[in-house]
Amino acid sequence: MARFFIRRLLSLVPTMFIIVTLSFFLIRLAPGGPFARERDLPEAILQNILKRYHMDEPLPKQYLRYLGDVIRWDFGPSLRYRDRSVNEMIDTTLPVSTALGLTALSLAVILGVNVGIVSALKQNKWPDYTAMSVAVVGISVPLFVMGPILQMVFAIWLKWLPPGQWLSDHGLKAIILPAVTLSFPYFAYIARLSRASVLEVLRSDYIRTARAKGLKESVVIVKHVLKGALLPVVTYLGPALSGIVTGSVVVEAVFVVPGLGRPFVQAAINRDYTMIMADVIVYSLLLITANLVVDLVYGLLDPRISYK
Amino acid sequence: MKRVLLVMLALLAVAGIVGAQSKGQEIIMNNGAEPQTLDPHHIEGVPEHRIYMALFEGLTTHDPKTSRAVPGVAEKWTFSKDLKTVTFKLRKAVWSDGTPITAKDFVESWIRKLDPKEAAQYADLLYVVEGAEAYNTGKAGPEALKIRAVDDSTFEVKLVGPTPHFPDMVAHYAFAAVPMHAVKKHGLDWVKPGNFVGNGPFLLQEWKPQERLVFVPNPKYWDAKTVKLQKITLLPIDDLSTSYQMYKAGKVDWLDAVPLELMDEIKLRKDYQNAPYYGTYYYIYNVTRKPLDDPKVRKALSMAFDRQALVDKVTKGGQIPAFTFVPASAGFKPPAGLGYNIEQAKKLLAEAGYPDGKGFPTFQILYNTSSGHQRIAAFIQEEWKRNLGITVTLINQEWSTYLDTRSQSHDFDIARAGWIGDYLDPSTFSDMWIIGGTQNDGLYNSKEYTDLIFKARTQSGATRMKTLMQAEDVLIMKDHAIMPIYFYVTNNLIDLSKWGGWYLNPLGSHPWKYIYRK
Amino acid sequence: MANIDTTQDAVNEFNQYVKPVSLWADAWKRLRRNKMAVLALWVVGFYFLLALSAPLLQSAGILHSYTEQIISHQNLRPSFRPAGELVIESLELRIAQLEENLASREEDSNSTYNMATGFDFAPAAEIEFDDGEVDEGEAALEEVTEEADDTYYGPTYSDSVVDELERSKAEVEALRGSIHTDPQHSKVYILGTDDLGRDMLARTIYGGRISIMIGIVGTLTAVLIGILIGSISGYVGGAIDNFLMRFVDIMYSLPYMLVVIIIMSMVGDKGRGSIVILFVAIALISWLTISRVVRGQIISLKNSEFVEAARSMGAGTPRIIFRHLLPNTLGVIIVFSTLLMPSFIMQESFLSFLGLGVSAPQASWGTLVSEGVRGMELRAWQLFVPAISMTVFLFCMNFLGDGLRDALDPQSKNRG
Repeated sequence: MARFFIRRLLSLVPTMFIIVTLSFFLIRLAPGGPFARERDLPEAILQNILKRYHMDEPLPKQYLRYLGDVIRWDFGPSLRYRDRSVNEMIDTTLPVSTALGLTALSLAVILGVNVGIVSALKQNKWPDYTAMSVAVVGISVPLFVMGPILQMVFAIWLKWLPPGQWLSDHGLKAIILPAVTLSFPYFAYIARLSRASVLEVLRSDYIRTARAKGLKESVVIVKHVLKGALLPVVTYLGPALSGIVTGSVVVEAVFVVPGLGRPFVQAAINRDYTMIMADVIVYSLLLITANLVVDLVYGLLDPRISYK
Repeated sequence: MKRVLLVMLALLAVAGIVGAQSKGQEIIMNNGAEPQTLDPHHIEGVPEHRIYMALFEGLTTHDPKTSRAVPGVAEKWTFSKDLKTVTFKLRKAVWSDGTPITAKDFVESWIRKLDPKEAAQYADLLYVVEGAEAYNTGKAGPEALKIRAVDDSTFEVKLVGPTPHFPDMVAHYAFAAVPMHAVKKHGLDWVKPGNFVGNGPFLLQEWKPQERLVFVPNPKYWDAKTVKLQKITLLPIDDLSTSYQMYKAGKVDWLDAVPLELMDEIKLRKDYQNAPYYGTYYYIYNVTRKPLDDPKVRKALSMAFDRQALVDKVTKGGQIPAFTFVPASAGFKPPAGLGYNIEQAKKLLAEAGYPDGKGFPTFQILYNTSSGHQRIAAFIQEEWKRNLGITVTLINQEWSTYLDTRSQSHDFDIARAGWIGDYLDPSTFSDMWIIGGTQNDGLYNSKEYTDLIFKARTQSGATRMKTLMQAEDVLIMKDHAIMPIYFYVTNNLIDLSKWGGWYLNPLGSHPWKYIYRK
Repeated sequence: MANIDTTQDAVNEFNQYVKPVSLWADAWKRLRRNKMAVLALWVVGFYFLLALSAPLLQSAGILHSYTEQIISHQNLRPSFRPAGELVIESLELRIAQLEENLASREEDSNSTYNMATGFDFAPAAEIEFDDGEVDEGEAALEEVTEEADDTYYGPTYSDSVVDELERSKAEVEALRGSIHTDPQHSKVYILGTDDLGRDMLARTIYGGRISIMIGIVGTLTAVLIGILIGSISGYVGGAIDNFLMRFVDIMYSLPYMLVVIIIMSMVGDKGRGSIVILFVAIALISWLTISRVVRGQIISLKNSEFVEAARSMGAGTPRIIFRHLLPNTLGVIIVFSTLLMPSFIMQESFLSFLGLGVSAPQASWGTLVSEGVRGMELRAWQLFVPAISMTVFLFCMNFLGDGLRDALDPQSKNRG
């Protein structure tokens, strides 16, 4: 186990290196650049700007410079937002996205797993059909529809919650609508996945044995079923966590949340290279760590798994 | 679990007391985007301009009713007889930290703006100043720049040609003065709250990126007695439907853009303000491509769709059908244009060798992704199909790719574009189509047109306007190198029974110092 | 024993010989017993039929064209009545609204309405020369304006409400005259029209063609690649597992939006609007999550007794994976792939933002929904017609998936 952990930690370095390198060169291939405007810049001015950001140098040199900076956790200046460094932008937006993302994800996990178990236990009865219908609505109604509808109902008609903006304007109330909206698809995924795997586990021999031993049903569920059933959910949490924490563009736009998602998409549209790179790095670090944790949790959840 | 819920509820109850709603002389406006920077030498775009108007003041500033130049830091200005030298007389004004503003500030600031190392975007607007281009492109030092502080309160500018509209131009942020002493002291951070020094009617109090900008009055502003607002909050909401919801909920006092899909409802609101804007929405023909290299084809296409129906039924915002590129303004009366005439269009198409659209190759309309552009393109596509029997495909690209296709690779047949004038003079439009012009993306290559524009640069007054009108005649009536579609309008939501000092004007520029709550 | 191979085992658990039934025939039998699944199957079948026969229906005149714009028929609500009547009705409603608006202005003279009645562009200020002389050149511009041309095409401005009122009245008049003569106005739009006067029913059906295809192709590629990578990674383990999963991490991490933009710029002109490129773009990342899920399942099962047994009987790796391990993870895979389908359908609308996929005037469910949501306060049907069509389809796909899962479950055979 320890060896496995160390090996995985070590593999983080080459993986990150490949991600940084690939992304660095890839994004330069995209048509357009950070300084393109509707009104063409005179060549001389463009050259001045490129020089300022060392972008007039040959690409390999820029790459080495960038690598050196990144090792020191310095993402450089934003090519679009002149007054702020990329580090500053990540520092202000990541906590917001993390708060929103974790709230949404916890909501999704708690509700999803419970609903999934209940559904499986009542398979093909009305609680199951209702729960699964809600779940299907959750995934098939896109966020850009769910968001405005919830906004209209709870903020405009009922006036219970603010239509937008973040903590400094409305306190904790501000987090409810965006978190609920954001959690919907994740809730649906988790509910459906856990229902399926609970069904699988319920039929397995060791559950039959446990029941045969005369264990109380609640004990069987909590001790045996839950453990096995969480496996696919846990797997799914790896990518889900990194995705949800690095922000959701739609929810941030609809509810005016100052998170990381919108600046990231903006950066991609504006070809703000330094900002894109920083986002890629933050996202992949989160993802890889989350996946590592997931693999470790496998071992804890499921005695059948061993890592050689 | 229960306890957590209780705590959450308690927090919610407390949080419920807080609420963002303006009262007294406070205004909350949705600025529509996070500003790229607050440094006036590096800004571009409407949201940044609005911030500039609060925090800075140039030599001149905009009249709130006409958008014409009115005295700012400059009390008055005089021209030399050849209209090539302007002398600005500065008033006694100070920066917000108490340092006096002198002519030297302007000299140093313009040198900074043009400094190749500073790499400012809009620097070429200053190329009307003698020596500016040479210095900015690194061909000469700052001494080449023909600007001079005659004394502390006299600032003299020598221009490349006669430029009677120069006072209108210097209201633009590209000509701003920045506090060089603060810039030297804080470097890039001089625009951050705490370090910030300005000379406008307001001061920067708070800047929370992606959340808000807050301004408070500048007590040292020379005209501080006119300023009535005690607080301005600018929000960076880019989602139009959310910002409209927030406006309806009373959380925002002023919107400068509305969701066009809800126009039927918005139009009936008391607080809807709608006015012509000094700008044109148009399609660029790539004149190097067949069959668009034939002026007859270009004219036929342009005549074969109903602009009136387009603005009435599709865009709905009160836009004005455009048959010429440069909007009319005082002294500038554009030609009549080609109008909407299907018969004539068919005739022209037949003359060009495509009777009833037969044999006409399929071509593409390129636009940047947006539902508004898409609707317009789909409307025109259907009109051409119905009226001329011509098939076009619609291609959308996200912004950067679109810009690259349009202005770098020129790999398009027809591309959508729009332009809002930087200042109130036809040259802000007509300069675009000279050979090698900054936005000549359709590669229109007319010596006749270019010559006329250069000729106008040596003229003034009514003769100059006549030359510019001639040029427009060549562009539209003779060559029809671009296809004008409509003149823009501004769509604001602000309740003028509550707010005073806010007027409709052709540049959509609303100086903060006059705005007040009634 | 967890795994029973139905095609070969002709003996049941009581060691009685039974007639060999193929896995599929058996599954089909069980599927038919699940009422929800059968209903879902019918509905999905109906969608397919409609999608396939749309061009036929159109040429037979049953379905309107999805591209044809009749601009005067814009924004009509769903109804069985002829368009002409509806247009008159909605225009009259609008006229009443506008008149009320104008009337309330008169009552409330204090308030400033949208009264931007024509401002003129102020002439430039007079030019003052250094010697104090004042130039009239600029001031004299107005004279030039007078003589130049009588037709003024510039921004003359009039009250937009008054304008629309007059226009609407004229339109109603014109329509009253032609309503019975013009066959156009007897058209019926049962699901209403969009903002360019196109039939919502036709657009939704045609949108479904594209979205269903994308959903299915995306899901299939995702499942195929995901199963392959996930099961190899999970079963073989070790360095190969590490390598494959790092590859997945890298694929996850690359800025997808830019990758798609680059692919598009590479294929150039011909690729614009090409459906194949769209599939490639979707297939590129669709399989990532499912491969991790499959891998997780395989890891947890690979040390089970039945795998040991198969291995001891000399079964090769492919056989163990495909014959023994995968059937046991089928449940999760099926559920996961039905979960993926909506995400592909929505992903298409994101990719069409980048200019990939269908280009206007074609539409997909995703683009229809994203257009409809903006005006939902005024024209709810433009959102709900495509949104409900899509949700019903996805609903049925999900219940069908559940039914299939139950039917294919190798263990549920025992309880038949």
